[in-house]
Amino acid sequence: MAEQSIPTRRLLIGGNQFLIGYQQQQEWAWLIATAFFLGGAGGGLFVVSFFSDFKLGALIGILAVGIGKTTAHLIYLGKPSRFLRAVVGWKTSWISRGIIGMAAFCILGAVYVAPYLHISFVPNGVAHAFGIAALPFALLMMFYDGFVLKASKGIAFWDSYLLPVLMLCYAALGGITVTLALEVLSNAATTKRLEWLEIAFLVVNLVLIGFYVLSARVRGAASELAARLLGEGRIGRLFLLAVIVGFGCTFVLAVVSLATHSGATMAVAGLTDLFGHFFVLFAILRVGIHAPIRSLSLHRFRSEAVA
Amino acid sequence: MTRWGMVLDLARCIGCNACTVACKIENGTPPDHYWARVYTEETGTFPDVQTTYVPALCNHCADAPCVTVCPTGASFQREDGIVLINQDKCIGCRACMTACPYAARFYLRKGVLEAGYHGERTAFEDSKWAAFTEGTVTKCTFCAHRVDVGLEPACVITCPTDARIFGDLDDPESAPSTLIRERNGQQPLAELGTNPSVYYVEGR
Repeated sequence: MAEQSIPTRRLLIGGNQFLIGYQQQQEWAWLIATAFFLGGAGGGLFVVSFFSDFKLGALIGILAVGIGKTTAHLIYLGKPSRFLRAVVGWKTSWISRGIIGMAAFCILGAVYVAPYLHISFVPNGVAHAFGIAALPFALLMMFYDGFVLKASKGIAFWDSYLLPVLMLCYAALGGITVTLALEVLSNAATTKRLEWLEIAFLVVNLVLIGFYVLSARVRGAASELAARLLGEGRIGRLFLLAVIVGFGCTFVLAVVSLATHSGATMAVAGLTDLFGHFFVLFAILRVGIHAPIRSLSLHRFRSEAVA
Repeated sequence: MTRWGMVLDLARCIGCNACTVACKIENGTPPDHYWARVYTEETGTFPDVQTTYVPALCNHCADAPCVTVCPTGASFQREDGIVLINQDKCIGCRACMTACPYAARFYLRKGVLEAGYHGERTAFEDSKWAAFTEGTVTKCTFCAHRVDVGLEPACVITCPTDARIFGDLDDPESAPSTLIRERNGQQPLAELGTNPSVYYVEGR
């Protein structure tokens, strides 16, 4: 394949011509990355906090989704006043399913943390049952963005079932790290098991992201080009930094924290993990590339006709 | 059952962009919205180079990914296969734009309709742009308003070389069906499984 630059606009007009070729998607960037990040990390934080019986973490998870993710989506939408219409397409659209899940998660989760906030309109036992009911929706928050991206048939790099798995694991890692960091900051007792789990998820995520990028080749030329972009230019540098900080620094800090029982180190590890999580997500979004509208089969057809 | 479709004859297209202009006039599309366009594809290595003009538009796919991902039902498909957007339902999430493999959808950014192409809006722009809503997505309609009254799309009737052939794909004797059969019509990016209603033929 000849070396070629990738147009930075959705529809490139060069001089007085429309130019055919690979086109980098321009529509989903910072705001969508922020929404996906807050949704995943918030869902993960709620799940991990629920099982650690750490109500502050659960509360922050709900706020990350209910306020952070929702606000990012609303700012992004062209017609935010029509936001509620987005629940209509739940039969086919993962965006719809996600929004329904967001609403259910926030409502059920709010009842779960109500006693913690001294709002006692339900007994503790009932609140706990609401927490259990919120768990599937929290899980949905952790991985549905992967399906939103996977549904974009035009972008081969995203068209992989590995993406929802990657999102789920990233969200779990984010949830574990933030739970640990919050436990330290709030002087709560940290869970040794969670610290080991964090290290395990760091390794799993590193393997997954490596496999996801390496497997891009089998999804066609546009996907291969996207993977190549992750290794060069501004986005490539950002991706590399996200991997180094998100995995390397977090891993070292987590091990140091485990060995020295240093709470401050764990808090810093939380920050480095979230930094890596956000920018890996952002880089994956930004390298979404549409293939030229003419397929390889058509090119072959013409070559054969010319021959 | 009718399934409207189009064949684009690359052997005939001369890249005059008359279709681009006809679409602009017929639909009064906003700036930077080119529902019908002609790509210039250069292949080969000097001195053996070749230029091919590739007309393009929304492919009105039978299995349209833009319809599937739309969370509001704003993107929908009629029984005759034409894919349309209900501007009153669109929330501007642009999921359809990333889902469409053919770059056939355009986002109407806020403020674009405030001024005309050349400053103050003309009566033509006032009239045509009333159909558009800022913050939503637009796309080719296959000139549904013309098709519904028995006319062909504006890009088709304008083409000076008859490179765009419109008709019923479900009718085996229609002009596009015949062309697809006789000249091995190919759907763009067929491997994606979207089953476009637009086919390309080339080289006789």
